[in-house]
Amino acid sequence: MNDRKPAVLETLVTAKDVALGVVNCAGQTLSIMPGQVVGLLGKNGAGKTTLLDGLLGYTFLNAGEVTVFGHNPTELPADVCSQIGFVAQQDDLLPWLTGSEMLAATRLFYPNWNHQLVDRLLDRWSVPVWQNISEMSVGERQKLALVAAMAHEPKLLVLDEPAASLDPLARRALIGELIDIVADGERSILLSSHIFSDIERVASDVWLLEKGRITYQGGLDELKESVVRLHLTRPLQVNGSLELTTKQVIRTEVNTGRETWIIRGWNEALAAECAAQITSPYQVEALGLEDAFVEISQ
Amino acid sequence: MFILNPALPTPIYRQIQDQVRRLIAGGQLLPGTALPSVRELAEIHAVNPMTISKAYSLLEAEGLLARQRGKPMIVAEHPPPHILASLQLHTILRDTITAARQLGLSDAELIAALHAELNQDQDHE
Repeated sequence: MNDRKPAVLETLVTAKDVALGVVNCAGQTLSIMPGQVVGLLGKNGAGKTTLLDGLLGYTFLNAGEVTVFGHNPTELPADVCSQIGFVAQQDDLLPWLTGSEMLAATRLFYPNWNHQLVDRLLDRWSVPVWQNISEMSVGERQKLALVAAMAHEPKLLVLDEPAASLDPLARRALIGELIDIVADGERSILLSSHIFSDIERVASDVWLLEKGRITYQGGLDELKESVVRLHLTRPLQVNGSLELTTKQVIRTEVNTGRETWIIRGWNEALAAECAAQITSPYQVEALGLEDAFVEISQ
Repeated sequence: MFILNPALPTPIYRQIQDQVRRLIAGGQLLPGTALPSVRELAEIHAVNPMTISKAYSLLEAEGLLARQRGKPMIVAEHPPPHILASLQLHTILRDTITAARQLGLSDAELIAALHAELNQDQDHE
């Protein structure tokens, strides 16, 4: 008999019907599984930071229910807290401490502090830990906050715009570290970012937040493959009907001689329909994440 | 060994899939050749390891790659012949389309020419 438990993937975070400030996800359920890297995307003011605060229990919800490692995030036991790492958009470092003092103080809260990792990161990012935090640049403070959040090797790492103040080299180094974290498939990361190329590298999944509601939750690849621009020449010549395709059109642009349909929900069935029915010249333009985001958010 | 650009509309897993297919069809990746590990590629290209695993698994399902226990993925010893044939045909067709465009032929003219050639071929049989 095999007495080992089957490897059941336990959901790290579940959020149902969350309402908080501008966020209103009534009827929606969000979840994060081990190994996932979820990119939270949304325009300014869409409610990204508010949602993160709600998920981590920094603010009480107006409605809905969140569980983090099976607990209500506003009353997490200490052993669960030590599984979570968080870097806020505005760091909450104490300005009168030096970097080293700050890390020493943070370490007291975490039994599993990885000194080697800390030394490696501080060295890689050239953080002047001997300086007072008040004398550090915004980028240096952000790096220090990241080191403090990653040092205890949390199972869930939540980063709110982690790369906003980092130069490209430091950003790439951060991505390398994030990849290292998820390589074993057990730890997860939730990050919001405006830097789409970073999200495209590191995310497995995307949450799209629009005016407080989630309009997409799913794989990054699936999102990129499902939004296309269909460029048609006018006059459009069609054999039969384009029933499937026209249902998925979210916007059209008409110019002289040509028109463009923005399609959300592109798949092989639609491609086959277009190939079979459209007899005038046309082209399908696949979109990168940033273009897809712009088209969906218009 | 791969050229990956996350900002392209083509998802990264597809970029890997396409390049492996092309390298195998073109004979640059020979049967039995070991591929870099998922972790190695993820670190070199700074992309999510799940994306690389996804590409490898799809290529395995196609029969182009083979998984060995505890060792790196290798190029399958006997890739399905119809897959190789369709990959090579794909390359030929791409070249033909490029050539036709350079000659200023319309798509309809290219298709008509292909039809004409196919018909002639049938006459010979």
